[in-house]
Amino acid sequence: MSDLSLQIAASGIEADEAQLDTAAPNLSNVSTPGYAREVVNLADTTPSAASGVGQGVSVSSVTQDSSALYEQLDLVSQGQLGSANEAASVQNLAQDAFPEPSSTGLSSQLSQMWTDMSTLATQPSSSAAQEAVVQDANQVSQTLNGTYTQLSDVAQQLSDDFEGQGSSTGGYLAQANQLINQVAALNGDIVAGKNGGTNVDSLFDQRRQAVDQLGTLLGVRTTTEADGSMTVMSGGIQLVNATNAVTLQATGSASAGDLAVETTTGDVLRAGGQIGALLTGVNTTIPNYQSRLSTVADSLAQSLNTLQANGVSAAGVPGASSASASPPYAGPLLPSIFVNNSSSTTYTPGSGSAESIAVNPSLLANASLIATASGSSTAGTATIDPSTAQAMAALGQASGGPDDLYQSLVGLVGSQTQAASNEQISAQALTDSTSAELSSVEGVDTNQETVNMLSAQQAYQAVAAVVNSSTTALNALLQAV
Amino acid sequence: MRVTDMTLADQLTGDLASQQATITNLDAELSTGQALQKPSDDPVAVADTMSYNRQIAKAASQQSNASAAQSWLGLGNQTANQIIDTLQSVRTTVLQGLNTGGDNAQSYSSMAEQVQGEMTQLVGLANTQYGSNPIFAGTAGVSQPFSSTGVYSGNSQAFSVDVGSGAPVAVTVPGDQMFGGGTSGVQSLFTTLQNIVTHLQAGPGSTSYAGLESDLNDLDGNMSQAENAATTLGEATQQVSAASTAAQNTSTQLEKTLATTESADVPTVTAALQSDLTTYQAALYAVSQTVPETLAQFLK
Repeated sequence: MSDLSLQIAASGIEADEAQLDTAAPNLSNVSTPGYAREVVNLADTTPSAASGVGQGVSVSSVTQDSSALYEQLDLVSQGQLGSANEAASVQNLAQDAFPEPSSTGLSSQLSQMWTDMSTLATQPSSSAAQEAVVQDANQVSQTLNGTYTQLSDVAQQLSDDFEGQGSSTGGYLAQANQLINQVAALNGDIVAGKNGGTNVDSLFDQRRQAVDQLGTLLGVRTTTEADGSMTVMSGGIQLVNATNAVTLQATGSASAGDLAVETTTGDVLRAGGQIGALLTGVNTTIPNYQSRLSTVADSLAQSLNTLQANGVSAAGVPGASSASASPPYAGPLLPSIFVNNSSSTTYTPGSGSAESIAVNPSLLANASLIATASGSSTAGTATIDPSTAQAMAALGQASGGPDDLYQSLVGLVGSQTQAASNEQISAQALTDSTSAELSSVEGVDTNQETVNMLSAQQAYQAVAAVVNSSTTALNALLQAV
Repeated sequence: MRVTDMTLADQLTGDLASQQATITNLDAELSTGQALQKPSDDPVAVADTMSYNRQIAKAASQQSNASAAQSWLGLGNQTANQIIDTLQSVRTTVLQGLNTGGDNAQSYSSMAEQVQGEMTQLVGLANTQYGSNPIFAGTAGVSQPFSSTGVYSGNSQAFSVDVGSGAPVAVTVPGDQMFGGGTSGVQSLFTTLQNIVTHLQAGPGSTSYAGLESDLNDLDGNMSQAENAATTLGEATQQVSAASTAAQNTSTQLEKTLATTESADVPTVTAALQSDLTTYQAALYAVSQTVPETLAQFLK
């Protein structure tokens, strides 16, 4: 009898110790990301048929209190948040190239140029006014170059982040590959551990952390197989299956607008997460801003060059188109105002024209070669006719002119940046709520653990009292014998 | 719902971070005085601001053009008046020549000299320059549109300035429209003056003296042309000054609109900042009170 009661007491002590042993790691991991709390599952032991007396308690298992549903929801929202964060940061970097509204941005430089052209129209033969217009045009072209280059630099920085040029962490792609391998390796350890009967809960936690990071980078979905291994999918490609891991590599180039992720076997991944947003930024967003900026440059250069070609300078030098009028003009004609780059003499529009648009060096060297008079002025005869200068100044207010185009580009950049930042806020809210739900289900509640600990402690004391009382009874019996 | 330590910590950090973001934005608004720091703050308002700035720059440019036009016109008006005064004096001399009767050859020769002198004076006036540009040369890039004998080398196109009142306003009168000759249909003033000098020098005894009669007609024709030209300049002056006032008003109106669009509303922003700071402090207090409180504290 007392032998039995001691055994029962021993089972109680074991159970209490198991509970204390669980409370300790739970409390230690109270702020470990991805930690799912452990729960001791107790069961009372079937009474023996003979006496009908219970045989104590047994620890049937120690399990993780994990929820596949909440983990999956959280994983998906992490991917969305990764994507939204990256998209917002791309937009903000791109927006920095457009310092508007300000008194120094391109729009005020354009205004200044139109104002100075209007002034030139009131004194067409003034060399100071001619010089002012040429210098303004030069500044505008340099600002267009600078803005274009700044956007290129952002794209370059992003593709470096992606491919890991000059980065100690190896870039997003290397991080993703490392995580994919880690998940595959953990799959192997988990399956082996389960088969060998060891507790693999900590491996589960590590795998979840790795998958979470991978989700932020790429946007992934997972399924857990019966043997405990995890299959990881992203963008239609299986990244991890059991212990098999694919290796991702970059394909295409930022300059061609087709930078992408593919497996070493050539399957292209439709990436989400940070990488997906980064690729959209590099391939679409920034090239779009650059080509819109080039339409500003094209509109400016083409309309001013046309007026220049059809006009006559104050000194009577005709532009290229007005020279054919009779009598034909023999000397050198007026140069184009804007050229594609400082070593060219003509301007051809194109999606990259803002990168190198420049004021013709011969005009910079001699500002009097700007057309101010109408093309009907007699070639070779000095004139103060201001018609062409007036027409140039009027371009500043032209509907659909360079100012309008630039204004709508800034509006586009602003709206898209605002949308990206709203997207970021809502993705953050979604992730906050999914991780709150997840931590609510899986996380550690200090109070709860403390209560568990206290009750285990009290139970332990009570069972110890049982042992004591059994021993006293046995001793009393032995003394009596 | 179970509230775990992670739930609580995430919630509190998230709330604090979003409050800090709001406070940072309000701080930036107050310290720069601008409601719009970057395009994404309010894309529509930023586009509006850029458009207002363009219109303000245009209005400013119109005002400065208007003052340039006023200078051209001012000089033009002043010179036209001097020309008309001189012509009046010539006319008096011609009338004198017609009425004095033919006794004193000496006085006719001095009358001729006087007209000759006035002609030189008029050639000088006809070559008046604004800056380095003659005001009676049309748009021709010459420095002396009239030779000493009054031969015109300018053109018939008026110099115009865009002051924002529709078409550019003509601020000069081409020399041929002021002094006749060329395509104007009126005999050149300087031809008339030379005729007068010749006829006066000839004196009443000569047959050509009779020409003085028709010279008076020619002179009247030249005078009325000069007066018309002066009227045109006067009308242009009024047009320019109306345009300048309009540009001034537009600019004032736009500045006002711009200020309401892009400037920070200081009282509202200050109040918002104050209330956000209070909330932030309350949240910080809540964190400091809540986070450390667990059952573990009471286990000694």
